[in-house]
Amino acid sequence: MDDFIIINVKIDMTFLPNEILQKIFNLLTIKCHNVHCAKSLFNCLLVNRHWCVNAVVILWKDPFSSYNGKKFFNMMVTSFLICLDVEECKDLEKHGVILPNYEPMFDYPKYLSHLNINGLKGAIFDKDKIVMKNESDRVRSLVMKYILIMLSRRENKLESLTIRIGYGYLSVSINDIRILLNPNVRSLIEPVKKINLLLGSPTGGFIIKLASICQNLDSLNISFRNSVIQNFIEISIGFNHLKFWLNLKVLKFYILSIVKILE
Amino acid sequence: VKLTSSEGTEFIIDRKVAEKSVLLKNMLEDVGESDMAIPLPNVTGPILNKVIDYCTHHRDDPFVSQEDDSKKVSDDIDDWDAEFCKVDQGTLFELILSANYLDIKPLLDLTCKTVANMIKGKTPDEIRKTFNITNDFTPEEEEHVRKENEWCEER
Repeated sequence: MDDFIIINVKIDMTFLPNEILQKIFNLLTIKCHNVHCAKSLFNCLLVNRHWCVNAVVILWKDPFSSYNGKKFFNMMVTSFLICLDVEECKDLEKHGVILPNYEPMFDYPKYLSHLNINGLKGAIFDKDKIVMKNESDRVRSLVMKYILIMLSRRENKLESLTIRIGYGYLSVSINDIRILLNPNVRSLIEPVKKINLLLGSPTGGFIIKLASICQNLDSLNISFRNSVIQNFIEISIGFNHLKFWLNLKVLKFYILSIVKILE
Repeated sequence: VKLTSSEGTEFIIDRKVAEKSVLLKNMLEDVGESDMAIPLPNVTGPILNKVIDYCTHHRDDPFVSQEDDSKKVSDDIDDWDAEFCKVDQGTLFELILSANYLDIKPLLDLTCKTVANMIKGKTPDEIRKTFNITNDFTPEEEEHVRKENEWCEER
């Protein structure tokens, strides 16, 4: 009789474990950069609480890579600002930043596993946003610093990092990201397994220092743009002296501007 | 290789077909040659039958590693697989659970892609209707979630 009951249980969507639901939601994002697909994941969030909990995990894995300057990205920064500690909040308020004072539905930063530094900068430095409306670039840099420090306090492990330096839209300078080498932020960078870099200006040894912090690094992709032949030589020589060179499974150099290099 | 479904129905299949399941492959390697049937208490006979159909059709396919997730897209399903997945929702979800339990990654990918395709392009309400899901959000919660994640809609 027991067997009869087990066999006749009607299996529906609620039987799927969380990891399967997340796998399905992940399929809505892979190789899919059009509005239709992003909208599908957003719609999954609104189905019910169970779907929401699982869709949030996928959505906030890599939020900053999708930054495109649209108005709602302000809310993304807000969700991170809420997680700053008391001292950081006080300091920002002293600098005139009006911090949000509500309880978010989720602890969003804990789902972050890929950090796109340029997208983070874009979301913070955008001039027309509600929270960060009148602040100077110096204050915005402070916000970026505190967000990175806050992330480094989290238990979640960052798996990959993307940085575009000195080239194109939302490009960052070495000064913008020097904080990544700070001992307070080290624990954020240490577990990173994959780094993608696009270099459009000389980095003065920064990349070597950054990569040497990442003890688990197994994939490093560096694209060189413009006249950065010095960068290429410096990085190639620098890596030869580093122990982690031996642990890398993937090391790719892309030269994206042959003409400039020949010049 | 002999397998027994949850109701006790026995199935005899080639070892190569059985080895499409990582769970069975490991079991067979541990146990070695044996006439004993392997009990699969989490898989019913009709579903095991479907799983065997799938593994038999794909018996010569190369092994897919766990790390190939980045190559997955939800619209690259071939005709045989698409026909295989034309089943009622209960069967589809049982196939997902069985593929997960038996550790057959290509079948798990296929069935999950099929569900992803059923979700694509639908409003939250249409998704609820499709899968018979009850909305348990309060209006305030729903508004909160919508507001905090609007950036995603704008992508």
